[in-house]
Amino acid sequence: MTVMLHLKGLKKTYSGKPALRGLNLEVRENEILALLGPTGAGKSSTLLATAGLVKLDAGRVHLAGTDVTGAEPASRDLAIVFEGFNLLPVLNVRDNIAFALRSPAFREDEAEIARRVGHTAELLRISHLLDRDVETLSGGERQRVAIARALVRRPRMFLLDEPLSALDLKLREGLRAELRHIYRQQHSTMLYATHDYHGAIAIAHRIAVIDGGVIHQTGTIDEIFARPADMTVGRLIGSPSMAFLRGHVTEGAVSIEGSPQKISPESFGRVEAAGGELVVGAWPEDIELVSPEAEGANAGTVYAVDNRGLDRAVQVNCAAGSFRKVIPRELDLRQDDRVGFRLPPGKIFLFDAATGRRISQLEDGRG
Amino acid sequence: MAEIELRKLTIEFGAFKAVDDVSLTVKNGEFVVYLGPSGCGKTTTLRCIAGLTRATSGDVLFDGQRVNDLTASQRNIAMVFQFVSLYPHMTIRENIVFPLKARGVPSAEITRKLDWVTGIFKLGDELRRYPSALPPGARQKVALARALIRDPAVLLLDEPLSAIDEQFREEMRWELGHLQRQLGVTTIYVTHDQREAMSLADRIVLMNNGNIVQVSTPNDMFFEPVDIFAGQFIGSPSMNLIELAPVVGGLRLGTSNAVLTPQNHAVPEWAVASRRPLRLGIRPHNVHLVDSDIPGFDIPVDSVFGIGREKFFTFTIADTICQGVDQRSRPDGTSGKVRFDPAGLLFFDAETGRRVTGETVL
Amino acid sequence: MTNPSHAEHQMQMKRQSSGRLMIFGFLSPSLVILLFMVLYPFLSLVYYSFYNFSALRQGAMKPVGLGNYRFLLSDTQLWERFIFTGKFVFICVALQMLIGIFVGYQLQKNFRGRDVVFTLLMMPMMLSPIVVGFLWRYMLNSEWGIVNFLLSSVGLPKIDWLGQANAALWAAAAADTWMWTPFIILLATAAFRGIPETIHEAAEVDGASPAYKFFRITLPISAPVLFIALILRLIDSFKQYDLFIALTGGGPGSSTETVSFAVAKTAFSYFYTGEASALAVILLVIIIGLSMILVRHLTHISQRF
Repeated sequence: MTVMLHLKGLKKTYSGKPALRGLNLEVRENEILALLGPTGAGKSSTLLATAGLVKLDAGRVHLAGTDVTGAEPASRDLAIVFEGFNLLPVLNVRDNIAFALRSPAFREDEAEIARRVGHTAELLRISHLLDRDVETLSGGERQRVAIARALVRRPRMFLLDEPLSALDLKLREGLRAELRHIYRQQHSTMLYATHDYHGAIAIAHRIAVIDGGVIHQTGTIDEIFARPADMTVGRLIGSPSMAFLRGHVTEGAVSIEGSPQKISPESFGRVEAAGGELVVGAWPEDIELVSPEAEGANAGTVYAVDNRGLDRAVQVNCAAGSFRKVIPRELDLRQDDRVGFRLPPGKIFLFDAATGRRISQLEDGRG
Repeated sequence: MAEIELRKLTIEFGAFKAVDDVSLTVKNGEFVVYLGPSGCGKTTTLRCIAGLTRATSGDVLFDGQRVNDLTASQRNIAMVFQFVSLYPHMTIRENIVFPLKARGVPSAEITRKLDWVTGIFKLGDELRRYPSALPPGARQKVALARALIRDPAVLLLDEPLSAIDEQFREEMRWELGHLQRQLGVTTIYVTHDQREAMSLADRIVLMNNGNIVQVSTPNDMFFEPVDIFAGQFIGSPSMNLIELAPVVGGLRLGTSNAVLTPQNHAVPEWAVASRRPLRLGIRPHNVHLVDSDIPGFDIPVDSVFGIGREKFFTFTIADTICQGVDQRSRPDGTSGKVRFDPAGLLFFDAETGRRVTGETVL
Repeated sequence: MTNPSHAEHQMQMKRQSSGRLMIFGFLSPSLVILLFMVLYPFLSLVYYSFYNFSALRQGAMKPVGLGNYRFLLSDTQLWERFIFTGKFVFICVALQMLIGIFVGYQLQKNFRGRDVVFTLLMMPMMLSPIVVGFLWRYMLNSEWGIVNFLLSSVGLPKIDWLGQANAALWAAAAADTWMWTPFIILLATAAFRGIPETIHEAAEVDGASPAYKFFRITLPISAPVLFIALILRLIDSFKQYDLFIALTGGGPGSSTETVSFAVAKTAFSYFYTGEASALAVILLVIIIGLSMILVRHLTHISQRF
């Protein structure tokens, strides 16, 4: 398992606004790593810094073991597919794809260029578009040309930014399909920035959760589910994401606001001493919905119902907060229905409300 | 609260027919979503209901009264636009009370209504601020507050969530759903996002090229699409579509060796006996990888992807890349048999694209 | 964490300084012009204002400190000129803004022939003030001018436009308004049409009448642009000179001499260069003072957007 990209302590501030605050990240060779975070988390800054398109205030960028922090972007042998990297309107598709190969830095001979362009175009199923003008292409076709342009150089690594706007939902799915396709053929290393949890899990091997200019956690989805590092991770992972309920410690046990259920500390495993407010977290899949009269049930009300086609999701509001959960179609809950829910011991986490960090560690190795 | 009826509504712009002979009734208090790709006529229809676009022919009726000749301000409607339409030079407070002030409502009443709306939307702090200081999601919240403060008979929304960040969008969707059910105002909502439509609607009106394709509840739209367009537009990831070739006793999947029969997949007899060429539609969630002792097909699996609790896998049949869902955790690259859930088989006429069922004469 | 190597650092520095050199190179022609054609004359102006200096008799230059200023500010005739200038500026700006906004409002929507109308309306602005001055001088001639001809043809008495002090003020204001209202129309139309259609639609749906819409929405949103137009016209009419030279020559008598006019006369008829410089400085201070107040208000009202 070799490390392809190693970002150490990246710091960058844009006119007083810090974008990266000491970011550390490792991307392994031949893996697709999803950089998952909300807008403003620092995803674009991370990609730009890796590519060398932005000057860092501090920190080092190592590619395949070499420190490239001061190096020119063109020399880093990276391929960038960003939303803003538009195709050159004056060239047709073929010339767009071949553009990089004709640049002074790479200079290949024409026969080789034609071969590589042809091969890449076939890979992305755009061979029939090679002589077309860029303006005449649809959004999806343009995306594939942009990927082809990046791919044809056979770079060490890809940096990708998922298209942001809602209008590109089909484009996003198309992009992911293309990347899976490419990966199957070439096992490329990719760093894929997205704000969409579904986007991340549809394509990546590991996920790095980013927010506020730092990485909160990196790991496979199973690792993250078992040991979420903090509330930010809980908020960004899962669909629906983690349920957070306000809690406090009474008589040595943890209880959530407005509920009689007492959770013995042993359920959480080892708990660090908590200074102030606590937050109880649980993945919605682990929360049990029961009748409000059931034993040990916490009281809640259905705030709204979301029809997802094959199943439904409900938002349950209670005194300690609210959470969303997917329910099977057979369970016919309506808005304003009263429900009960139970938090299963051994599957819940305790967080410090002030820092957001997880302060519980389960004994069975999950902690 | 009002009932809205569209009777044979046609809207033309020069030679271009944006809306073609559309008829529909929206019941009192119903949440109806107009869904379709861009250019299908959904926004034009909405603007016509609002009074911002004139109908070329046909009628728009509110509670049985023809309103074609009334201007937007004369119809008792409220509208939330896609791109933010808050008055940039007014505070949030002034924005929200504008509709009441413009109609000369007395200030005691205005204060009362403002308090009510502020409570619902939890706007306390933002009232003093200007729209430019708020993120797009919050601005649309304000636009909604401004719309609802008048207690309108009809609430019209034109892709209100499209220009908002993903995370806000989901929050707003939940809030909107909750709010509409609570207030019970007749709502017409336009979007191209099938997720929004499924989530919010009592009924979905699916449009394409100016025509209504299907009007159903979200459930019916999902499980009983009327044609290929409807089947593929709703649901994400999209429905798989596979050519079928009739063979003795079954239907062969494209040019592969896999044959669907009444025995292995409970294929209905009328489908096997069909004289018209058919295509199979099946949603990825109804395609599984099973162990060898269960009836299925030995189709090579191209790739297994996704790292969530659901893994998607792809396979190719007759040059079509199809997707299925594998819910068991298994290491990458192992094969298995592909099985279609018999309950999820949808048959479509290969030429017309319309769905065929046992009742359809073949 | 290692620090950048020395060689790397040097390379970065070189890249930065060559970039800076390039920037300076591109800016220098403009800087030179600015220096010689603006800064130097301005500093000379202030310098000479403290001297009893005449450009014709350069040898007899005597420093008089604030003498020029004291003389000017106690001169009653100068104060009359200030009052006249003030009246002129006020009338011009008021008329131009009102008419300009009104016409701009009418031109908001597209209608048949709109482009033709718009082009015609812009034409007065294209003429030079001297030409406009002479044009109006002939039009306003009390005997055979077209204005008086039209007046008499509907039975109204002829007015001695340029021979009476009061009428002359209005004549000058009319000429200036004729010439410069198109400027306001241009800016107002642009501002009004720049408002997104959805805002109008939202207002309509909200139940606003056209008048309510105009005063509560269109006008306030356009306020920054209109304010800029106001500031520009204000400063410009303060400086108005060409029009007066052509139209009235400062007459009848010296009743239509603005402060600018006085500066020119003092400098180039009487050649009291030092005194003229002082007067110019006074005028400059007034204009700068007014502008600063107005611009501050402008910043304040644009902040919401």
